[in-house]
Amino acid sequence: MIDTDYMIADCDKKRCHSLQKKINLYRRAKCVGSFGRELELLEKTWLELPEVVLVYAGDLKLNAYSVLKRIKEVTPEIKVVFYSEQKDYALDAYEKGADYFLPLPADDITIGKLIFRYMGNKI
Amino acid sequence: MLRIAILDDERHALELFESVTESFEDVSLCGLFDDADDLLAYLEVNSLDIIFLDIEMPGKSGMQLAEELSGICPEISIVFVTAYSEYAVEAFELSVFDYILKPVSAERLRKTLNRIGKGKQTIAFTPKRLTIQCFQRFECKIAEKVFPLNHLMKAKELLAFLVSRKGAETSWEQITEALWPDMNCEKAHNNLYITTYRLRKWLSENNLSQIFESSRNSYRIVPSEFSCDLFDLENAMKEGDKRRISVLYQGEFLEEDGYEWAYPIQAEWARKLNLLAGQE
Repeated sequence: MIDTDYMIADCDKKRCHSLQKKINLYRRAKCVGSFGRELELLEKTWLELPEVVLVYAGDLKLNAYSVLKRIKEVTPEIKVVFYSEQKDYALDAYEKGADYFLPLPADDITIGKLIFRYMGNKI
Repeated sequence: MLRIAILDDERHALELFESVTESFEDVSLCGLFDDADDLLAYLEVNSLDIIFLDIEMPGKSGMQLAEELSGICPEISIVFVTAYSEYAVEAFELSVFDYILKPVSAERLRKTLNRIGKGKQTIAFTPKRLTIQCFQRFECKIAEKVFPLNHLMKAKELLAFLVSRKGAETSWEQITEALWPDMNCEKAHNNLYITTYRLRKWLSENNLSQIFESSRNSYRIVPSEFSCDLFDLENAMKEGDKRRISVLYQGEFLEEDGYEWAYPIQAEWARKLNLLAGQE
């Protein structure tokens, strides 16, 4: 079984760890970094090349649209998933070309759907 | 040519969609449907690339239909066209490709078509033929046009270094030691990150991303994806084809570029060619 590597971009450490904890319950998902600064995240993204980057949308300190744009222009193969309590960002995710939107609070079902879609079919 | 159709219960929405798509030369509008059953009947005998679906319709909703279609025609990309924004979360869950708010503009529709076109391109994409020259000076030619890369000096050197490794996995440490030999590790890694970013961006802009592969802590180029005088010369040496060697050997390996890491390779080639000359 091969792990699916993912990264998290979120300035709020508590929220980030909470999401990470839920995703890591699935054995196939492996967090290879969490970052609160755009440059740091992009640097690691291009070097580590995770399959998925989860980006919190709705925090002025870390612009989700900018992160999405910069990841996609160099590494379009990386899936970018927005997550937020504000469902309006789901429409923005479509507008800007994100691959998925995870509504918060994320329960087992929503996390399960994400895992199934991007982390569940690697054997 | 993308084959598309739309299902919407409002006549004026269909008319507007038709007028917007008229200006697109790369799409063929195969149907304007106001009834889900008519669309399903059409799909029994015809194929489509994209279906644009309204969500709120009498009878079967766009959501229900999207679910049904993903089961019977999983290859078709579904795009919601709606006046309501609140279904976007569910749309993601249904793997709906895009979500457009009414009224549909040509600009927004173009964005969707480009995204879908890109996805389809990756399947049937034939890469541009890239030719790399290493002897005398490092040069990249795409479709016979030379790209000097003078504005991307270090990215050019990184590419040259990876080419000299002939497809072998090359660790970050090997690269930083060659390209920034006197720099401390942290700064060298930072430079590597910026240089890699620029190289990947240039490759991506020229549809050449497939020649560069990265895995954890290492990079490589994919020799089968481009032509290179270094590989041709090696083959000619193996075959002992002296005429071809003289054509290909136009100067020393990366002679005009002055890369320090290239000196041992230059010396090795000089030795090989002297040996060959001595055999005559």
